[in-house]
Amino acid sequence: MSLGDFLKGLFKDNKLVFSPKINLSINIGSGNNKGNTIIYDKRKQLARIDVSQLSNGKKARLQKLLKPQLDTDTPLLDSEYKAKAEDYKEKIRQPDNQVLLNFFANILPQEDLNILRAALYIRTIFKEHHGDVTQLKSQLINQHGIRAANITNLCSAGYFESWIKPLYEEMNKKPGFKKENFLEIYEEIVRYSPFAFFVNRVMSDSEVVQHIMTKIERMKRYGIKTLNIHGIGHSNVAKVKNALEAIEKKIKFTKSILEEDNIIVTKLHFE
Amino acid sequence: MLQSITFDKSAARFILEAFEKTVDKEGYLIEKETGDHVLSKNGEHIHISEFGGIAKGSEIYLKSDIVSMIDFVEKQA
Repeated sequence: MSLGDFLKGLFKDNKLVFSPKINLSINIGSGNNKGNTIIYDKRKQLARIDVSQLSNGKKARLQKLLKPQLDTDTPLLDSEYKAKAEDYKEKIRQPDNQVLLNFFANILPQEDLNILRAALYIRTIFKEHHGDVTQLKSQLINQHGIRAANITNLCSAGYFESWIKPLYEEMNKKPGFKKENFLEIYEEIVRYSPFAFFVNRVMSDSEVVQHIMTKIERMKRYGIKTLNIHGIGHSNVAKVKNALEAIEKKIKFTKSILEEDNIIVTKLHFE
Repeated sequence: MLQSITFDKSAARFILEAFEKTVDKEGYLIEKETGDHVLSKNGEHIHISEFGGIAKGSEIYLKSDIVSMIDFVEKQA
C-alpha cells in the first residue's frame, strides 16, 4: 500500500472525494481536527490528519508509509520549522540581500558567509516587522561565538554595504591586489568592531572629534583601552587625520596607522 | 503528487516512533532500541522542543535553530 492509497482510504472513510492527480500536502497532528480523522483544505490543497483519531492499526500503517517518503526527497518537517524556512527563503532572496551575498560569495570565508546570511535574515525581519530578534541572535552566537555578534551588528548598521564592500572595491582597484590584503583589514574590522568607529561622509570634522571622544570616554569606563578608527575615501581619510590632531590635544594616546591610498585604519591605545 | 509532509508539535513523537526513535526523561531524542542519543548534523543532542524534522541523507535530524535551518535551506537550493 502506498501513502496515496492510505490517504484515499481515510478520505473514503470520511466521505470525502480524493483525486490522486492534485498536488497534495499532508499535515500530521494530534487532536488538531475537532474529532475528524482527516480534513481537507481545498484552498491550500492540504490534508490534515489527526493521528489521535486513527486506530492502532492505521497509526502503524501510516508510520510505516512515512519512512520511504524521505527517499523521494520529501523531508518530514515540523510545520513551524517549514514556515520559518520558507520565510527565510523569501527574505534572503530579496534583491538587496542577494546583491550583497553574491558580491561576497567568493571573498569571505565560508563561516562568515553563513553568519552573514543569518545576519541579513535577522536584519530583514527587524526592518519589516520590527520583530524581536533576540532569540535568533542568541542562537547564532551560541553556534558561532562573539564573531557572529560582531558580524550581525556590522550588518544591522549597514556597514557591509557602506564600508566593507566599498573597502574591497577600493582595494581591488590597486594593481597587484590580493584578496588576502583585504581579508587582513576585514578581520580587523570584524574582530574589533565593538571597539571601532567608522567615519562617514556626512559627519563634519567637529562631529568626528566629538563622536570619537564620546566613544573613548565610554570605553574607558569599561576598562577598554583600544579604539580603531576607520576611514575610506579622500575626505574621510582627511577627517580621521584632522580628528587625531584635535584629540591629541585633549588626551594622551599612542597610535599605529595603516594607510593605503584612500583607506586609513588607525589603532589608538589610551590610558 | 505529494508536495510536502509536515507535522505539528503534537505529533512529533508519532513521527519519531515511525523512525524507531523516542525521547528520554529529559526530553532528548534517543534511539528506541539502544537508548543512544540522536545527533544533529553538527553532532549535537536534540531536545524534542527544538526538533525541526527529518531530511534525506540516511535520516538527518534537524534542529530548529536559525543556523541549522539556514544550512538545511541552502543545501536544498
